[in-house]
Amino acid sequence: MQRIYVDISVDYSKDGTMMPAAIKWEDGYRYEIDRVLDVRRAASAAGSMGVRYTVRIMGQERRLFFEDTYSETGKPRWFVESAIPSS
Amino acid sequence: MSYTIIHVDMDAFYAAVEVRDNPELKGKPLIIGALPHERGVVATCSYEARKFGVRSAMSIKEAYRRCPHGVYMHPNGDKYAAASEIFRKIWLSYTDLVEFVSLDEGFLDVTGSAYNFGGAAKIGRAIKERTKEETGLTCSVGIGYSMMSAKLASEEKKPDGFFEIPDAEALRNLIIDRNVRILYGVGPKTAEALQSRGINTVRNLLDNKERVLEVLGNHGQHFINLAEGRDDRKVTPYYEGEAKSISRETTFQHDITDFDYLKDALRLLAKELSLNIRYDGLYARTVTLKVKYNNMKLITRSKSGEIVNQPKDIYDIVASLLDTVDKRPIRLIGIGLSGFEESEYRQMTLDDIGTKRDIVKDETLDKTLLELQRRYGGGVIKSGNEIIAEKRFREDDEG
Repeated sequence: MQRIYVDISVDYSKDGTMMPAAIKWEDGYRYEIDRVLDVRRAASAAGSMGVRYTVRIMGQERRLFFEDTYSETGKPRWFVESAIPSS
Repeated sequence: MSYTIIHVDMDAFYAAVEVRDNPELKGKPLIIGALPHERGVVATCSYEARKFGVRSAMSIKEAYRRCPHGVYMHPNGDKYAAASEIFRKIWLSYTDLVEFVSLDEGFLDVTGSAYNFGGAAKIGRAIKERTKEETGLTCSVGIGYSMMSAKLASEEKKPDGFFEIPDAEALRNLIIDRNVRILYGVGPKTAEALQSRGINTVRNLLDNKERVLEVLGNHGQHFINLAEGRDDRKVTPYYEGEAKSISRETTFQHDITDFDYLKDALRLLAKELSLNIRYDGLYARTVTLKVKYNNMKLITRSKSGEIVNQPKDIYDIVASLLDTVDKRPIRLIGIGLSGFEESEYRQMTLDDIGTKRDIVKDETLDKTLLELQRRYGGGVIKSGNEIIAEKRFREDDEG
C-alpha cells in the first residue's frame, strides 16, 4: 500500500464545507467522484494522516486523504491509497 | 477529595510516527536524534532499539556503540507536532482539565466528566481507539486516583497498554517490592543515597521512615507520602499554567570559539522563539542566555526589562549577554524566554517618541509576515541577516 499524491477538483459550499469532486490521475485522466460516502479524520494504511474521504468512483470505493496537518511540501495536499506502485 | 485521573503516554512517539510513514522501518531499531557522526543525544528510539540498551537522552556515540546497525534519523518536529495536535484535541473532547506534559504525554482530570461518558475506563479505551484511528499511533493509558498512580498505571503495560490503579491499596500492592526509583522524583542520586543505606525497595523505605527523613529531609517526607499512596498534586490545565517559559538551544558539532558564529546561532534561535510567542500573541519580560562550555560547565545570564517579542529585540539582548561571558570554547548555546504578558501596550522610551510611526509600521508589517509564516511555514520569510547566518551554518555542515 502506498500514497499517490494527486490533483483534485473540490467543491466549496457557502457554509465552508469542502468536498472532493474529481481526481486527476497521473496519466491525465479525470475521474469524477460519484458520491462521498464518509468523511472523518483518520490515519492511512499507507502512512501519514489527514481528513479521510471515502468516495465512490465508477462503482468502486476509494479512500482519499486530505493531508492538512503536515505535508512534506509544507502545503496541504491530497493522496489516494494504492496497492499499485506509482509509475 | 478523590480524583479520577487518566495519564496518556504515546508509545515511542517520534519513532512510531516515522514507522507509520515509512513502513520499511517497521521492526528495525530506529534511533531519532543526532546522527552517529554528529554530536548530540538520542531524542527517542523504537522498542527494537531499546532492546540493545539505547535510551532517550543517551549520547549518540554511546547509542551507536550499542546499536551500530540501527537506523539513525534527525527528528522532524513539524510532523510530530501535527500528530500531537490531533490527539490533544481528542483528550480535550473528554475534559478541559488537561495538563500537557510534553508533545506526547498528558494528564486528564476526568473526575467531573467521567460520568457523562460512561466512566473513566470507557474514556481511556475511547482515547486509545480514536488515537489509533485518527493518527495511526498507539498510546498507553493509565487510570488512577492521583497523578502518580495514573502515571504508574500507564507505564505498567506499555506499549499499547491499559491499566487501572483504583486506590491507594492497589498502588501499594503494586509497588511495595519494587525499586525506590519507581517513586516519582527519585532520581539516580537519591536512589544511590537510599541504597547505600540498605533502602532498595518501597517496602524498605516504608520500614525505615526515620532514616529516610534523616537522609533526605523534607524530600524524604514527600517520598514517604508517595510510597503510602498520597499524592496531592492536581492536574494543572494548559490555560492555568500556560508556558511559564520556553527555550531553544543548539549543540554544536565542534566546540566553538568564534563569537560571531555564536551570534549567528543566536539570531536563528531568536527567530524561532519569536515566531512561537507571536503565534500566541505573547511578549516576554525576561530573556535568558544559556551557554555550556566544552568542560560541560553550564551558565545562564538573564535580562529583564521592556517586554519583547520581535526576533531582533530578543537577539539584541542575548547578543549583549553573550559579550559578558567568558570567551572559552562553547559546546551548546540557547535562549530562554519567560515572564510572558499578553499586553500589546509597552512602555515607550524617549527614543521611541520620534519613531512612533515606524513602530506602528513595523508592527503592521510584522502582522502580515506572521500571517504568511502561519500559512506557509516559518522558513518562508527571512531577513538578510538570517539568510547570511543560515548560509554560514550550511557551509559549516558541508565543510
